[in-house]
Amino acid sequence: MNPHGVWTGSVLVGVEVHNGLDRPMLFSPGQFRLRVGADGPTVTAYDAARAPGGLPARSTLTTWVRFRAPEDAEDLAVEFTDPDATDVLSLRLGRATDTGVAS
Amino acid sequence: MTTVPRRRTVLGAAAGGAVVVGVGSSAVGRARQHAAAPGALQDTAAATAATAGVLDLYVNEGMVPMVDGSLVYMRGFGERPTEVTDPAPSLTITPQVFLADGRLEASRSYPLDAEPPGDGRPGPAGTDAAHRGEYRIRRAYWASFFPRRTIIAETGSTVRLRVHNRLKGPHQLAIPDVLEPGETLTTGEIQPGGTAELTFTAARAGTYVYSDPTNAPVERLLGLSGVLLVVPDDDPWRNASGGTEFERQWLWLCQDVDPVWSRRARAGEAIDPRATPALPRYFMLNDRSGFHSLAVSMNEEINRASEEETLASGYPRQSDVRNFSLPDGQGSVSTGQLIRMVNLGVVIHQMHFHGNHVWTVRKNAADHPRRAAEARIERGHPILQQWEDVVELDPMERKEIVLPVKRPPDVLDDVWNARTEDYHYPMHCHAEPSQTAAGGLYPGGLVADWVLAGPTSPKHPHFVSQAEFASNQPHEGSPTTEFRKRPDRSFLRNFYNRRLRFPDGAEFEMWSFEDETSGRRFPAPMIRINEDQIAHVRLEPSKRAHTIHLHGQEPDPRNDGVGHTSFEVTGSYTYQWRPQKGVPGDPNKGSAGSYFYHCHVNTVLHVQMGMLGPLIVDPVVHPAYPVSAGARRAFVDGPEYDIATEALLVPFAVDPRWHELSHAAGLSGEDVGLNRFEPKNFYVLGGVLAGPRSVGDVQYPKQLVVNGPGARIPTLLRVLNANYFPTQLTFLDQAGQPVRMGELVAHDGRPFRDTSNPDPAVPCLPVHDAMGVDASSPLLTDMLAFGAAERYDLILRPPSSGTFTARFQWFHWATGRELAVRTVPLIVG
Repeated sequence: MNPHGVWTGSVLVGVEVHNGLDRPMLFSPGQFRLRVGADGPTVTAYDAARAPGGLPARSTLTTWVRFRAPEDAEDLAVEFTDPDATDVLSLRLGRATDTGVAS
Repeated sequence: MTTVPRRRTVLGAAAGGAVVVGVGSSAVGRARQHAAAPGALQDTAAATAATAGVLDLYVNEGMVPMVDGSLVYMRGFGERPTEVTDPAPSLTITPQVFLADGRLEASRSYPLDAEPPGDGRPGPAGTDAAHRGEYRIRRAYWASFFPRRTIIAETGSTVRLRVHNRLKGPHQLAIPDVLEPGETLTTGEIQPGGTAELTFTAARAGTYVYSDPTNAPVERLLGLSGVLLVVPDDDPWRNASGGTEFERQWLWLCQDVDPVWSRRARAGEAIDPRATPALPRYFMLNDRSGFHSLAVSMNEEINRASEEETLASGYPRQSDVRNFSLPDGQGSVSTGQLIRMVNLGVVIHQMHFHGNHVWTVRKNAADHPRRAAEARIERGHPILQQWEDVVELDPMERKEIVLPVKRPPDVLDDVWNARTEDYHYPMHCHAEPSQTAAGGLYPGGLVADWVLAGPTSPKHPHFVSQAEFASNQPHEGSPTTEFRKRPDRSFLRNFYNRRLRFPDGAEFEMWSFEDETSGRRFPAPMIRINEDQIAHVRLEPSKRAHTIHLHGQEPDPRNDGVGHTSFEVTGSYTYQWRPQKGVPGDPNKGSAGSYFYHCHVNTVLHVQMGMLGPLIVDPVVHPAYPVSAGARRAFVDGPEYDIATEALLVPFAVDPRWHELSHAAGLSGEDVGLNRFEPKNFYVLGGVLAGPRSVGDVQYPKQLVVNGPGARIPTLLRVLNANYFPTQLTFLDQAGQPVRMGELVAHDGRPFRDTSNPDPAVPCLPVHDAMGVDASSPLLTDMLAFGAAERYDLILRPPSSGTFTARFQWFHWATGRELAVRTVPLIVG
């Protein structure tokens, strides 16, 4: 039963995050948001495999993040906000494993 | 907006030297600065060697996860030096206690030798044989937990702070009011790499803010803030020597976070808070939001900290606001729990308690008076110890209130007597954009529950994320009304949606309630009942889930209409309650007054969409207080008023963008901008209450008729702030000058009384009566300031006949800028 009409679709995104720095850094799955439609809203993660925490220097982690989305949603993209970068990194879904989401 | 005047700043900042800055008779502050040598910024990466009795604070920076997991750059007074790149930056301190004997101890609980309550909840001394389901409390027994950022200083202790600036710009630490009201004790500006010491004697018991006032409020909002509690060393279970006694105390820090300011600060940009005002996107209580603050996350460490530090909890007891130290003859007293509320943020918060009204005792370290003759109006706010269910908290303001932790006054006996488990009630800010995170995710902001402990404490569901919590509120089809009785009054409220035409010609999609005869209009039809009547309201929510929260009425949680503490309704449900009967002269009894009801589902949106209506409780008639023909009393022993001219005025504002949103906007985690309330249309709704409603879509007054000074019985005006920003009502005479003609008699459904006599056998008279027959009330005012969800009842006492004006002004909750003015003519015959 869905009396509110919240989105019932689910988008599971596998991500690889590489810390190329020579120091640990803070990583949070919440840095990923799902964009629904080119001009649509971004969406907070519904679930993730890990909590915010340190990512050791020169290490890579593979994890996943899950979002709610409309059942019929098209043109989805995952955005990653790196506090050390000026731009938001955007990856169209379907190509999310094509490249690492590095910071 | 209230700001604390600063008569002067106490500053010792002579280069390199110590400057004694003596103020007052017993408090001495001393500041000492050490300039940084070239390149010294790097050297401060190492912690300074600890000095006994000195608290080192490091001005640090770093990234902090918000409740949605996003990372926001923040600054803070940390307990060790850390870099901005540190995955776990030190931006706050574990609570520290300066003891009168000279020691400095790190401790989350105080008094140090008292037993910390398990899960934060003080256990009872035993059951109260005279009151079913109630308990006797332990007097002066339990310690209290405090949140990070807390510094406690016993009176007579010497507070020694050493502040190290590890950032690239100048910073300082300042503490207003701690020495004397209006004075600020400060380190002075500390250059990058520099250190300053601040030493003073704690003398005035109270709640104080320490923060960096640089470019205020920018550095404070970035996180450079905390709280100093000065506590009486001879009586740690009172807020001051001879002050208000409590079972345990809580400290609530209200915080707002603007990630745009944070991003700009990290980039080294200068932020002009006037040119680019703050737009908070996150709202926190004790550094936690939403499901973290409510202790329903999967992180047991966060949950435990929130239970111990934030979620007020205790066993129901008899309390008496006349005398919180009234002995019960068995070693217990009649007090509740003290909550110190501090607004470190930038917006005005409106702290609303379900389940119990709270008793406000102090503001900014000064007691509110109890005597009617000492009551006064300050910038539109009545200053008197009083009941409230919504406590306004302006930026930098500190208020101390007593949560009585008593049986909810409007619960039915059968329901109460059958209680087997805890009652959970929400406490949330009613300036509802503060209930969001990342533009949605209701309830994801500044929220807490409080718990009336019961025989059992069932486990509640926990959630993996704020998004899961927001989108999975419990709902039921057509739940049963437990112990259903034959009602004295019953009402039907059907959901409807429709485009409605407003007085200015604008049309908006509105959602609201209708009954059998009201038609689809706004505000929703009034619920009006008498004290001691059993009332029913049947909700028919149509296709979606809704609730009815009887704001200010205090039944059991099932009838309180909040999803996460009971259920949302998809089929139908009949809410049942019985407003408590008033007793003349008793400040602890009675519920007559002004309220409203509203949907509590995705409240930030549904209330703005129009799902609200007025609720009025009339008093029982007591033989000692008969009522004249054509009149009622405002409360059981309150003033009579004229039924024919009684009126309700409701300032309301519309943000048209919100009226294009869907029922569940934001609940799936999408950012729909519900933290941005940008009203474009402003209205004064309501009107005269007697007789038929007006015929338009929206009920509003073109004018009000008010009884003049020669009339037998005066007019009663009720006001309700139904929007999210603060409003101000000013009475103007024919020349447009303010005129004192509104006598405040009640607030949030409770009368203003003189409670100065602690003897329960002595009646606590209403303020006007306590002043004597010929004296005017000190609460007669030309101006009233009231924020979201607050209600006031005013007897109108115009000085003459003629046309007067009720002027309403709306102010922005963060900037204080005037947004709109609307007027209602008052025709005095």
